[in-house]
Amino acid sequence: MSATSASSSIFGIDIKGFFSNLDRMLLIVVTCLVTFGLIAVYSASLTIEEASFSRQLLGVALGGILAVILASFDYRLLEPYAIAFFVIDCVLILLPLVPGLSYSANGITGWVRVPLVGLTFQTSELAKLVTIILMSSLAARYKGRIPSLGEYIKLCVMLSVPFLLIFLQPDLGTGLVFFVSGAAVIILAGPKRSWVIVTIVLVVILVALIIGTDQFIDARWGDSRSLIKDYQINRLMVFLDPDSDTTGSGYNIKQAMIAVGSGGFLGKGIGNASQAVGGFLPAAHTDFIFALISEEFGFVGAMLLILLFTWLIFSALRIARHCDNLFGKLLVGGIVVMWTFQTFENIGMCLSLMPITGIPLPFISFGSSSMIAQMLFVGLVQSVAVHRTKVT
Amino acid sequence: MSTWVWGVLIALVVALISLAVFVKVFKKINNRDQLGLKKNAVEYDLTGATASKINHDMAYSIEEQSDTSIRTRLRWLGYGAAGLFSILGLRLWGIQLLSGEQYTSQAESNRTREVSLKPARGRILDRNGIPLVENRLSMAVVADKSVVNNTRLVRRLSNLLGIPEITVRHNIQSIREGAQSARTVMIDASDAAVGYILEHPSQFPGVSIEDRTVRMYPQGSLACHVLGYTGSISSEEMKAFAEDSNNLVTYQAGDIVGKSGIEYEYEGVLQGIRGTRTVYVDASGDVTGVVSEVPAIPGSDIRLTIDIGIQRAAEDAILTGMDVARYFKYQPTGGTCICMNCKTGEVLALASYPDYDPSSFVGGISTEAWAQLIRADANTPLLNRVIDGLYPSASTIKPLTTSAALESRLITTDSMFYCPGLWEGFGEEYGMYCWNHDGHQDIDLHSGIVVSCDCVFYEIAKAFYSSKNPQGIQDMYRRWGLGSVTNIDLPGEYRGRIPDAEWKWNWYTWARDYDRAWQPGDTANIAIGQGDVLVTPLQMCYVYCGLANNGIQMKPHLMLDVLSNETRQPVITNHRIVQNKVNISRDILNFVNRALWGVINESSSLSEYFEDLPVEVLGKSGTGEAGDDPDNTHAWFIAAAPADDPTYVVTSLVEHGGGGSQVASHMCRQVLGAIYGVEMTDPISKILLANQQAGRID
Repeated sequence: MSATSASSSIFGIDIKGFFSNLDRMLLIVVTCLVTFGLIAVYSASLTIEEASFSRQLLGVALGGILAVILASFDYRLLEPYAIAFFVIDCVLILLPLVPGLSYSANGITGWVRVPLVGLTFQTSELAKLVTIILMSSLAARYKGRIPSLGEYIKLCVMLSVPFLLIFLQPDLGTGLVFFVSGAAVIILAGPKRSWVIVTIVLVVILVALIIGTDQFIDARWGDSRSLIKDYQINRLMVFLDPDSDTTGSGYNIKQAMIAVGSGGFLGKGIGNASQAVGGFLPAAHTDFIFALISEEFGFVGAMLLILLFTWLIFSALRIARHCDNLFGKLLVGGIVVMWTFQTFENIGMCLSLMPITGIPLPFISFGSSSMIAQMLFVGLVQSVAVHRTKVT
Repeated sequence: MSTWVWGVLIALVVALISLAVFVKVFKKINNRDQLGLKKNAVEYDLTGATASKINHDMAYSIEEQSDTSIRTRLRWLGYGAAGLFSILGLRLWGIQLLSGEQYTSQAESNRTREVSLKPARGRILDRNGIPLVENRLSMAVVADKSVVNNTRLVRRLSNLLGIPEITVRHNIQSIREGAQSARTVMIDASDAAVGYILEHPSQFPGVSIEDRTVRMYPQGSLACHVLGYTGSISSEEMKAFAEDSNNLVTYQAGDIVGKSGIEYEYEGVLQGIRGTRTVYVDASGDVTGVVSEVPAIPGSDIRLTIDIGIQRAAEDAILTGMDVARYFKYQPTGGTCICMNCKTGEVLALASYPDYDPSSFVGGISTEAWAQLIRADANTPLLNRVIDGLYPSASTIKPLTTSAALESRLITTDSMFYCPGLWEGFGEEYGMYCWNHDGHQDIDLHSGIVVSCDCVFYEIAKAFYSSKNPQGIQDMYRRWGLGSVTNIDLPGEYRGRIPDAEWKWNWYTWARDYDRAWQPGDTANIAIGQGDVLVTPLQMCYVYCGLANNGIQMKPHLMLDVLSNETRQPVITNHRIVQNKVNISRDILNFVNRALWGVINESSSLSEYFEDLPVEVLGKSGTGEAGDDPDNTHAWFIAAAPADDPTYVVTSLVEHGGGGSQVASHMCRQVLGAIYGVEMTDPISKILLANQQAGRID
């Protein structure tokens, strides 16, 4: 039962009751992760000019406030408005392509410069959240069992719209996050196993076809007209054989591996990481921040971080299990898969297990767009934890 | 209206379109909801393992059942996440703990660099310590070879450095400094240009500035053929030096090495030993700290036997000689002048003309400068004619012919000869002219040398041809070192050629047997140093050193000693080496030297040149036929002083310069003047006057 016996309230919100209903495990683990991330960004800021510690702190604060607001808001009210989320999703993804608003950073045009204010924001981070809400809202209508193949296909079509739109930016990494977490929601919503297997086979064939056609276009009309740019293919090839090209695309993986490996058991300590400090490790404050952490804090620190992420996943799953609302379960399930995927992809990339994509490490990587979006996810999961009728 | 308003409008249109798509797909979803679920429930009841459970427990609502299945799926999600994170943990363990050392050493090699410290090249000094070659610092603009593809960058460099775009492009494409090394765009760039490039690195990707120590020639082109020039090491040279046990230096691509002359000959002494500095660097290669340093050991200075004053006199003498030759309507194409100390073998001056500016090779020679050097009418300025110019020795060889005849007792010092002008000793059809077509009439051996009467030597040739040892003349020539290298410490010396029957047979393989066979006329020709005889000016100088030094030939050398970097004292001294001792009777040598004294002192015109010197001089002229045209001749003169016990031997040659006594004699006078401190005032007019007063002598 949600507590209604208010002793103090602000704007009609029962503060004491609200905090006592928050999931403490999630609160603690997120606090740990954010602190860990701030330490890492701080140490990166010592040598990397772009890594502004104060901006990151601002992102955490802003995200924290938004998370509290979102946590206090009853997520169940969102369920009926799938149509609105779909529109918002498409607009968010397409905004950066609008002339006058678009702002390009690091070669990816995923940024929007808010008019008049001048702030820049990566809308795709927010679109992740909207996509998961949208898919959960749609999938929850089937009450845990998708009745027919037609309905299943409709869900797949709905997911493919934001997924394809994000490719226009083009941002393969974020597109994959959309795809994986959305697909997880669909699978959680209860399709037949055979449909899922057939879908996976079809996707594999489609990808093979696209790459094949692309190679053909590339050979016939040149890289500028092809669907997948050469650098994207190069990244993939280098992942398959990191030693092939240590100065080009393979340089990043090689340097990340050296940073991680040379960290040893206890690490080199803050500011002593020669790979990061010397600038050998590219994007040491963003995409490769895990390599920086591994170098500075060694196996102990890196393992601690992986354990914190595991804890995060399980405290979120615990909330989903105790939730009595299918929409809530699907929401948290999607978010869990998103966290798992981003974490695995980002850390896996630093360990040469996964190809290089520009996916940030949740709560850790420098960047306020990502930080705010991640805090909103936490707020949403907390909202699911707070707003339940079943007492466990 | 700003663009973002348009943006918002476009976004709204997109929103409307997506709305339409959504409604189209999902318009019936709410109507179908109940129907679908019910239909599904029936299907569900009939399927799988749960069917019996449903029968047992009909109280389970559909929602509760799906709740159980979603719980299962969430649990599997947890297992999946845990599995993936375990993979990460294992991988981390593998990289950090199992392979940690390997990556640590890689990180270490990442952040440290070995910078090689190039040693300063040793200087080259004259015998009194005056620098002929020094070093100076220079700022060079170098570029990566990829820069050539960047048209805008090439244009920017061209504007900044003030050299044509095509030159920039060409310099970058050139592989003269080795295919892998950075290309020198410009050496000695201005401070302003260097500063601009350093301040705007983003505008000049792949372009950098290098501090270079480069060669400097304070005396200009003086003694350029002795000094030689330097350049970047080639891969062939790298291999050759590695195999040379005398040269212990290890070379890297881009190293500057001697390419010719003393620079090449004493490369191992001049180069010095490379040092290394280990530094910390960041990813952009900027040095952030020094770990350790082994300083470079600079190359040692070399002192040459060259005397800068005599060398300058020798080079001036060639120019004067060529001027005189031109006055007499000859077309001289070059000349040489050598001064040797016959008692020690030291070379005091070694000049060859045309010369070149060795500083044009600094930082790689430009295309234009190279084209100038190899142009046909430039007459091969890079050729050191002293050791690589091959000429008929002409009459300068007559003392050796005389010695051979006297030693073989074919003639005596009292023998008399008759010169009719046209000598027909081998028959009317084989008539040979003396240079004096009027003939010298009755003449003795001494006068035969003094006036250089060819008929005297034709008679000697005839005597040899019919003697037991028909090749006695060649044997004598060879005993004095002709046909062999003199072993001077310069690279690439030629051996010349003393022809004999065997050589002629093998050389003219295309000719008829009669023409290949040795003819009496061949012997007559070599007796006067013509025909197929070829010598280098240095070889003749070496011969006269022996004549002047009682048959003892000292090894000619240019290196006096090597100076220690610390004490400035000699650490290696080039010892005087008796290379050859010609075993010949003192009487013959005395007779020959007496004749050589007569060449100058019994001739009014020649003695006039030399009379103001404090010492008497010996000498011999020579006029080598350079072709069928009787006026196309090389002018030789070789002099030795003091006459009673010579120390200095001066050998002069003007290529295509006319008559020896007329054109080349005063060159020796000029060099001796520099040695004895008696300058020849207004040499040209004096020479011309003397030439007018006396008839031409050869």
